[in-house]
Amino acid sequence: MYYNPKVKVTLEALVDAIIPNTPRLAFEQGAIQAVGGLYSHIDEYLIWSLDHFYSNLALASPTAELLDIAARQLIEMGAAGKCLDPAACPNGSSFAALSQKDRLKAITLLPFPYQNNPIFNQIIADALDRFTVFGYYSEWSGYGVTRFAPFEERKLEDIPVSWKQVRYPGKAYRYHALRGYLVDKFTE
Amino acid sequence: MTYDADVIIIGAGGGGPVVAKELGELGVKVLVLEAGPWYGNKKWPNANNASGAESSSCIEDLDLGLLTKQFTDYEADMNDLISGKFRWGPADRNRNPWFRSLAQTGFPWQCSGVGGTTLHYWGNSPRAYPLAVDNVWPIPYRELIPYYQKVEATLPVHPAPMTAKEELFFYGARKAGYPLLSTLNVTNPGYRPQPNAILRPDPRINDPDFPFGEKPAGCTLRGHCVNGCHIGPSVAKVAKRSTLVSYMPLALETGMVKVRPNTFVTKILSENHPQEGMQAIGVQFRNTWSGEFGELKAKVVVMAAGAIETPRLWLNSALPPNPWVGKGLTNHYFDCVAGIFDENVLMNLLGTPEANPFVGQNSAARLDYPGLGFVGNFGMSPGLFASLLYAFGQDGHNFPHKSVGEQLKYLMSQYRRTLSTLIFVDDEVNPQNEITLDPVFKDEHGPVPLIRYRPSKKDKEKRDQLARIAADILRKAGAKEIIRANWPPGIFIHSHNTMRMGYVTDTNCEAYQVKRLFIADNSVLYNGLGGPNPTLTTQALATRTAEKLVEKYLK
Repeated sequence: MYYNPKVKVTLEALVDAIIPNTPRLAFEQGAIQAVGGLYSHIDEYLIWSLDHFYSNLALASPTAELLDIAARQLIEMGAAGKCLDPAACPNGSSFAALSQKDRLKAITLLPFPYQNNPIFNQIIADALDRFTVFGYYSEWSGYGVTRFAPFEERKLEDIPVSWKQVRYPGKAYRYHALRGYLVDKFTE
Repeated sequence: MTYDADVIIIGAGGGGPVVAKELGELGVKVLVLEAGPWYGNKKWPNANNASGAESSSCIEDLDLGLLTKQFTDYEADMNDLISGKFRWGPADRNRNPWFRSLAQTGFPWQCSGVGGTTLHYWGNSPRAYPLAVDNVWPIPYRELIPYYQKVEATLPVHPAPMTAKEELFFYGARKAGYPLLSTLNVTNPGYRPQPNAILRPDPRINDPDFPFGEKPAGCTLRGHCVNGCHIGPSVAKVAKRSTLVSYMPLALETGMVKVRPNTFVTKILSENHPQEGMQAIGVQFRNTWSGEFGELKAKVVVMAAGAIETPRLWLNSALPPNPWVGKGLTNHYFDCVAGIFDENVLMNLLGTPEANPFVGQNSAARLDYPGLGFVGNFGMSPGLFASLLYAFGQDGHNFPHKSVGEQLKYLMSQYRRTLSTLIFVDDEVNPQNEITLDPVFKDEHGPVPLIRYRPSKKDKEKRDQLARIAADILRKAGAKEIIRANWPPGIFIHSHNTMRMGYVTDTNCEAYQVKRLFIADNSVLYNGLGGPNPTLTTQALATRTAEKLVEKYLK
């Protein structure tokens, strides 16, 4: 999937903040916990979702632009902690230049108004997290190279790394797990 | 006038197929119009890719093999809000979902398609709390009982089975001092299995040698209620009783019911009758594949499009103004509270180190609390589980407080040792909570609904109280960590009361201002039932409405 490099790098930075690589968790719980959303291409899932959920407007690009404005605002306010030099950042994304923590802070500054709808950027900000988390923990990344094939041609090629991280065994046909009935029959 | 049917029903969700089955059994000719696809029907073998046939009226068209192929058990394939098979949108997944405007953070979670939102519901079918109906509704609770009984026998409804996660929930509820309830008519706080519309597992399910075969009868405790159940020997006997597999096959069996999926009703057609006054005479619809419009006529029209679309359709049809159309929206002001357990605690209690949210029915235990609402346990596959618990909370401007980053990954690493609960609040009907038409945004079906909901101070207090109760149950069960998601008020999983009985309709659910126009969905409920899940009550009322409309117009 091709996208404007600045849009891509900005939304990658967002996914990386919401579901980061976690070496400390890997140290505590095992190597499988090390990787995060980017390993599973969730930035691509997020971009696709932003471009398809709202009527006929593709929102990935304007959302990335807003994140970048918010990031510059955070930097100008002096509220950003350690920050890379935006000029040095690949593709000129100030948002991507922020630390993971500051990126999450920047989201709260998404500028008003958007599409003349003051609620709208709040809805977008909220959706960014929902899309990313659902995309990561669902089977989506397991579709591998077929992830953008027509829906009926997608094939689950791999077990998503997220499933291994949470030890979800995947779909089962049955579980021998019945522990009886607390009430056999309800009464009037 | 020539009629296309005696009765046209708009919507094949929780309510419409109930009316269709009841009318069909009384010999009434029915046409059901559904905006979304029809899964598991041979006339639409590629339900998401090709327009297929125009209609189906034959039970032989239902095909379990096809349903099993379409319901893949994968949560993005089934439940992605944008492209999933269960979404509010056209059958063609290459097109975007149908847009709704919100005046706040959140989203409505509904499904188009034969079965409607029951396609992914958890099957929970409790009755209303008598306290919320008696001396509140325009009809008494006892009036509902025979209709409850009929629906409970038809679906059927039974106490849900326990797996580890339910045993843990019940243990906590008992330790917190609540009694076990075994009644259908709940008047006092207590815990009980969910009364649910899921066929019971085969009693031999725990026998490792028991051959399930390819097509077992009853639930297999596999945890995919939400992703679309397809377990059973035939479509009509699939374990989770969405209306796709319960009332719709029964309706087809009468030989009197025809169903057209992919048919979005855009307008109620009406005329002024010299004696009756304004009356409904049919509908205008749009085929969602071809984009073509058409009209269909009937003696009676039943709106069953849900609490968001039914008022939208009324407003887009320029029917007479009524100050209560679209007003009074309640949504049970959900929240989510969970506990994480240590392995040894679970081992001592359950004899297993994990509670396993993906095993068992998605929600099989509850604590009822008339006056406040209720707390239900739940468990699901990880994408939906993580979303409800860790990504629905707060709003955009509280982003740093969400569970994100390393914390989210830590919490999800404890997935198999997490017991989660949902809170359902007995929220007040307030006319300022509403469905109106968006003044700007239109789609191919007209101005889109604009949704607005603010909980009252009392609603917030009740939710906080239920959250404390849920946390107490989890702690008493031995949880070492408690998480409260703190959902924003704009998440609409249950929606009701936007066309209330006594305000928009009479007690027969016929519109006061438009004769021959009835309502049979959650919009006609007088209130949020005190907290209980609305489907059973809507189905009981729909059963009653079918009877009333025949008495009045078709005898």
